[in-house]
Amino acid sequence: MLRYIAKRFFLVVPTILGVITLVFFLRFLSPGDPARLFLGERATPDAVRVLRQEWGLDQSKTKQYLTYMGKVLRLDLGRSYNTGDPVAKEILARFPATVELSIVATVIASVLGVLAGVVAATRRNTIADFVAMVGSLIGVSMPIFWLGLVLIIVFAVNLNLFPTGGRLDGRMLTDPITSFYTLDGLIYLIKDHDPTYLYSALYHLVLPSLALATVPLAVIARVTRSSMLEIMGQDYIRTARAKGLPERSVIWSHAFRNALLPVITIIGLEFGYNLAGAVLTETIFAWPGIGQWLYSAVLGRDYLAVQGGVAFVSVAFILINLLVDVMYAYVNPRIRY
Amino acid sequence: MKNKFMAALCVTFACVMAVSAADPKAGGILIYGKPKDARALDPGAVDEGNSSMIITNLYEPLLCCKPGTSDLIPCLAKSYTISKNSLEITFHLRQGVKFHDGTTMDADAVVFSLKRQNDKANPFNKYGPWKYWSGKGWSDTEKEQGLVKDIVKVDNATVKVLLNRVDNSIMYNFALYFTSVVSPTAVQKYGADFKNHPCGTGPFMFSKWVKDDQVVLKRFDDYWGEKAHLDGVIFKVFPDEQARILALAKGEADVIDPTGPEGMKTIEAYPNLKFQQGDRLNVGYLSLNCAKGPFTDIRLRQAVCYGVNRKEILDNVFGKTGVHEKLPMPSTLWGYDKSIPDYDYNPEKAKALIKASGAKLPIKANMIYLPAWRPYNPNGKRIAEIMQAQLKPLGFDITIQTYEMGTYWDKIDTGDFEMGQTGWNGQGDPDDWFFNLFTEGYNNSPQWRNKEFIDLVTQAKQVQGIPARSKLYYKAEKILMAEAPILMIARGIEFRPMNKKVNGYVIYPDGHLNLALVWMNK
Repeated sequence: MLRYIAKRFFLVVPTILGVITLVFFLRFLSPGDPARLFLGERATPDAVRVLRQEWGLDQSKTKQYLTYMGKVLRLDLGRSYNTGDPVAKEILARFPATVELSIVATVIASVLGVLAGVVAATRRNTIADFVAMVGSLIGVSMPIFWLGLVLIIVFAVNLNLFPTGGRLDGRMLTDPITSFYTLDGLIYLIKDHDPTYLYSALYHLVLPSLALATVPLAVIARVTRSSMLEIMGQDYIRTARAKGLPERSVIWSHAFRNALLPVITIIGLEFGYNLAGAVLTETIFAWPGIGQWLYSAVLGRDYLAVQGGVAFVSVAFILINLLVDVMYAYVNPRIRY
Repeated sequence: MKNKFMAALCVTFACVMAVSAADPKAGGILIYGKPKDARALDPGAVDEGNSSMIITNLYEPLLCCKPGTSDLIPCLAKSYTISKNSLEITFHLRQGVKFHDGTTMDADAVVFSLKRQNDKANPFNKYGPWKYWSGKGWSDTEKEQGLVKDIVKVDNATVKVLLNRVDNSIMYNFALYFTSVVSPTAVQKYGADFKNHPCGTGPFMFSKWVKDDQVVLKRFDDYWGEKAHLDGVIFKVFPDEQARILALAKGEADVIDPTGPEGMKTIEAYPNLKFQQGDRLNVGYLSLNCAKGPFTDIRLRQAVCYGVNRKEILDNVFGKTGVHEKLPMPSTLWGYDKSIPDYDYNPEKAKALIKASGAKLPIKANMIYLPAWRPYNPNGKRIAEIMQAQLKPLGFDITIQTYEMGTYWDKIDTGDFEMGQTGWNGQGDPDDWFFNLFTEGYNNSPQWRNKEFIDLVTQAKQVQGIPARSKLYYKAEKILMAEAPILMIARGIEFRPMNKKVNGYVIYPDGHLNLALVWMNK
């Protein structure tokens, strides 16, 4: 197993370099000069020229590429054109928000998706199956920007149950400790016996995580259903039933565990997608995460931020996939690397 | 008698209530909802609204504008004098002003703040680029000498700005945020990171910044002037426009950035919300490319100006959010010749001009329209469609298209269009409009270069006094109007959405945001 993990780690390096190279050269296809955009309405050609020189944009593509890769190999992602701050610092400032939202959304999607999939498979061609599958079809095809706004209008504005956006109550001025606000809430609860922070953090997570969970939930439900149906048709399930095992035991102990492998893959991938930037969810719910940041970096032609952000997200994605592979062995002891 | 007494009592009570309702109330935290986070909180290093709206509450320049107007009044400088040859400006500083870090604002601080932007040898110059300063041509470049020669301390309370050449449009700039005074101690302490640890003399001081989420300011209790009513201000990011409006409706924001016509309709439906209306310094226009394509012919440019019914655009697209302007400068500013004849809607005259040009019909041209709401253009696509329809019977075959904003500005800058919607958010001196928009540089989007016009607006920098400068601008405006490099569309009026409990909010024409005047009903 350790050998396998080490091998996968080594594969990460060329993958990341490939991603960075691709993103680096793709930027030349997009019109617009970052120096001109940065300097704004009052830019003069002279000021733009000086800034282009300073940022190295006047050099040949090859030279720019080699300079950038040289820095990347020294773990320097450069400085954001937009803010002048190191890209790594910018990413780390926003990553906790994205991780927190992605974890909650993935948990919601996994629990409800698996449950819906199992119910649909075990009650095939019943009303429960129909509801679960139509629901998942709607979920898969739901435009998130529309769903997000509907959730805000119904649950935040009309019913006044949840906030419209953000990570904490706007007027709550308590300083974060770790940048993972639910964790900070727990710390404040333990330290000061004050649940306000935790309550506010959780309260703000509800609508964005529900919106973000919708598509993965639907996908997980469909994959679980088809995987369960396949397993339920196997001989050993018939044998289990024939020996008089209760149906609950047949489903959860015999079928479910074996049906889990493709579900785990999907959960891992969906978590990776969420981490890679839930752009729409983060934008609608004013969630200050990686997705929102990357989106505005793309619009502002902040190339170093885009390249650094994509590289970082790729690493996260690859590591999650590695974790999924490791989990295979745990779920199914027959799998050995 | 008893009735009279009761009536008098009621009147007195009503008066007392009215006065107390209008009396500013201290306390409370105001949340300002905006679409994007600030880039940096160093006044010299930025040139965009999402940073400047915070900066103007943290820092102060030497002069400022009287609330709601473009009239200059003293700020950190009590007064100023300009030498006879217009090459020396002497500022007499206010005494007893403290920075948020407790240090004293004096001549050294003013010299430090301005020199770091002007002097390339200054050790803090590397923390630029100083966008405004260089954009204004104030510092030396490889090609030419900058406008500002030096900034010198005369004594602790007096500073002189020495110029290399005469430019009488300069004074307004000392009321803009890029000339604000920063704490030298804080800059020396934080270096490149000063932009994340701002320290000025403004009515609010910096508290914290959670990137892409919020910037928190609190009242500065040692402020030299009238202290802010609010305990603090939170600038909170709501990137999605609809979600921002809903946050305002729910009370999670108290004031938000202005919005387009659709957003205004939504806001009008909420009884707890209101609009604050105010004049802004902006103009929206259609540039007609004078360097290539059909509009190199002046007659076709004039034909477009006669052939578009701008009243229809104002009525159908702007509604109450726009007013007609003849010239590419707000008529609220001095130097605007209100008697200048306009291009009134006259399709027959347009047809005659097209015929006289000898152009083969249909005249094909492409029009690019603004992809997003701007203060001077609420709906670029709708405006383009109306113009397209109005110009078709005259013989113009116009294709309309748009691009993502970055690409769009690239096309406008480089003149990669035949007709292009654009506009300008400017300042209180005509120079910022006529010189900036129609001489050299990126902002001359119609690519129109008229020597006589350029000479006049250049001369207008060099003479002193509004009457003398106005005369030159009037002459320049006549040339501009006759040559028709642009078709004026309108000037946008600001309708700022806010909660009804917000009072004292003043819209400054140049976009300056001063939240020290604001107070909230509990």
